[in-house]
Amino acid sequence: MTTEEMFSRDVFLLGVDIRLYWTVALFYGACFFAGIAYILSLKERTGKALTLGLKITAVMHVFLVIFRAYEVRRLPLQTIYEAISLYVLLTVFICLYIQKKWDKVHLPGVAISGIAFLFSLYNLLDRNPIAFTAFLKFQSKWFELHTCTAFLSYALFTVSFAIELCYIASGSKHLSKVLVTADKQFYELRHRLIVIGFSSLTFSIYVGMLWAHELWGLYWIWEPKLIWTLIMWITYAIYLHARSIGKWKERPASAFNFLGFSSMLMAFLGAEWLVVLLGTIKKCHLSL
Amino acid sequence: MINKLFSSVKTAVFLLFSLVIILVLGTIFFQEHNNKENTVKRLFSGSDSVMPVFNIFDSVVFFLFIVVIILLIVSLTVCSFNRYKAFRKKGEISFEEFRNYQGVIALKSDKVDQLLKEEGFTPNKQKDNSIIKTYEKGVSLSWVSWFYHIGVILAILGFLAAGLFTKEVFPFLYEGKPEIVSFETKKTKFEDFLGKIGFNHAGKEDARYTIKLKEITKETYKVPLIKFPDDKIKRFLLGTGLQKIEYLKDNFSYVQKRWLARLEITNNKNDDILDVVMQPNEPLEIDDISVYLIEPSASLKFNVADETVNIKSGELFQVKNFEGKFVVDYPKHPEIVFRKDNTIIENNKGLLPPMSLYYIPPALPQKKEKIGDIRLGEAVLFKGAPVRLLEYNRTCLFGFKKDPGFVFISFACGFIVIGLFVISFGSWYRVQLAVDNGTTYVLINTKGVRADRKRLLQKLPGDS
Repeated sequence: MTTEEMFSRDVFLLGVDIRLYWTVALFYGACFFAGIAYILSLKERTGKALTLGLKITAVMHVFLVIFRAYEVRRLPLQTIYEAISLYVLLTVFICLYIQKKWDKVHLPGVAISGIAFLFSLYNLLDRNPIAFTAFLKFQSKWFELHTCTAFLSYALFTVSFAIELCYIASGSKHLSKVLVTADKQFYELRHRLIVIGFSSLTFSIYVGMLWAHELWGLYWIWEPKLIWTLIMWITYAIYLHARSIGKWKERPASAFNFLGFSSMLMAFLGAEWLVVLLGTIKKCHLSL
Repeated sequence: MINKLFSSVKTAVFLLFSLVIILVLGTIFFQEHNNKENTVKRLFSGSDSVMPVFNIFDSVVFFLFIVVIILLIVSLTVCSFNRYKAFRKKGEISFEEFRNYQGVIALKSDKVDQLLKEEGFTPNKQKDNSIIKTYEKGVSLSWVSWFYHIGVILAILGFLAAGLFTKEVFPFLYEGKPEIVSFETKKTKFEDFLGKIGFNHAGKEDARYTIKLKEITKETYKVPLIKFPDDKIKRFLLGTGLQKIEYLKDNFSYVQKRWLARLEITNNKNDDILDVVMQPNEPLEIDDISVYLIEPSASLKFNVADETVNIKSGELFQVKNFEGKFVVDYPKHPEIVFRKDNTIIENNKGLLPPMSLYYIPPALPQKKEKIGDIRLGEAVLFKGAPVRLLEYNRTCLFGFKKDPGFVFISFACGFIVIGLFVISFGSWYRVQLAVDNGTTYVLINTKGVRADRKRLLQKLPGDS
């Protein structure tokens, strides 16, 4: 194959990747609108359509990730574009896994499909999809482990947040009708998902330190993204402590769940916006 | 009272929340001690493994950070000690107290023991004269919780120790020029502190290694230069297939593949010579020193409107008579060029590439304006003044580090990770029971995300 043919092939594959991702994003959008219809109508049929739609879209998304891996000839973990795609897929998977047991509780799917749609749109409209080959500093087992466990923890926190929204919705007259089958064990999932997510996040930070030490001899740098990751870790640690205090098990712990999810968004994407928003690197901690 | 205060979980929550507020403020408000120039200097000349312990008066937020961390360690230590004491102390409880205890269930059956044994529960050693039996199953998560809290304390202390006792140097090594790298005159932060309070530590001059950077090689991939639109509508049209992605057929892009640095290391004591090729994320271990290849660079000498400046590529610099700053990008020219299938298509080693010179206006520090590409011996004009490149030397930034804390920190963090994983995926059950006239009084405690109290209750015989 000549160099020219190779380039044409790369560009063609990128084109297919983008078109496939747009299809997946629009399917997530359709699921979200089905979810809105479900909230308004409270019909079980609409709820089932939402869940079925999510399942079909998840399968397409798996194919997209595999295609991306074939296109870039490595695990698709290195660019923010790939990271967001993987995060969305993991979130949807975890939601569908939970809905296997609580198959009549469709409400978390509404939140998850909305998040999936928004993130996918953001990725397609704002992020650079061009596939880079793996640079050497990312060719480390520690780096791949670090990114996988980080996205897994983000996905777990997101689903916990969705269930938290259901818990709040159960107080509403209108929505409580569709949460009749959501028992105490279902709401207990908020806590269980955070416990597992917290372990995964801790492991991700630990392995990230090992990777940084292997690369630069440093464990930690006080830069915005890492600081917000630490803030996220501490917020979820507060949540876990709050759950052990009798009076703080419900509302205060729920508040920390919300705060934790917000800090997760900041750590994932918001830290770089903060640097831009504040106008200059001098106005915040160093940003490398 | 202090014991009660620090052993309270609410105190821990309050301290953690304070830490969050401090960290959030630290990302929003400018921190005097941590501006970019200072941090760059510190990264390249000192340990940044942990916050600079002895610069606690640099900023209010930073000082508060230290105070909260100290209080957190105290709280963790007190909690862990109390937890350990509670675990060791096994108090006696009478049957009446047990029967009336909150959560105890009465079952009209005396077969509970048998069922528990069938379910895999093991009986604990019963105290003399006690009619209360205890059965347990699974990993005792009380220990696990203690385990990872201790891990947090050890990790914080480990980072502190690493920061205080690490020696590191970050020299730029120039291609073809040997450098003597020595730690002996380099002080740790702890030695520095001792010096400040009057205990002077005289380092002995004992240069152990002469290191010569023989060669730096940059390998790159040649990839198509794709014109990807920023416009959102155009992106949507690409997604629908109504537009196609274009790439420039006569222009290319180059993506880093890897850097290789060939070093000749001479041990000055015994004249042993080591010839080694290094690349990023593969540190070299020589005795107790770790060597890291950080980044290739270029050392440049410019003449700007009759002022001579010596800088490194990527480093911001200022010149008299001009507001704002300048920066030279590290040359992105391709040295050894590969296709994606790893076949070599170009070898440009030895060629000195043009450097891209940028200007950063003071009003818009996020914006870089390209002045032009400049080669050795040539000049470009900036606001009427010539900018001439006088010297160009290939160089590479290395890190040489003696870190006594790494193993300790790894273990401490490992404690935390293992403890949390056991909590996540483990389950522990304790069933205490006492039988009286055919009725069994049962108290079930569980820990762990996977522990299913409801399932166990459903299995117990007898009506409650």
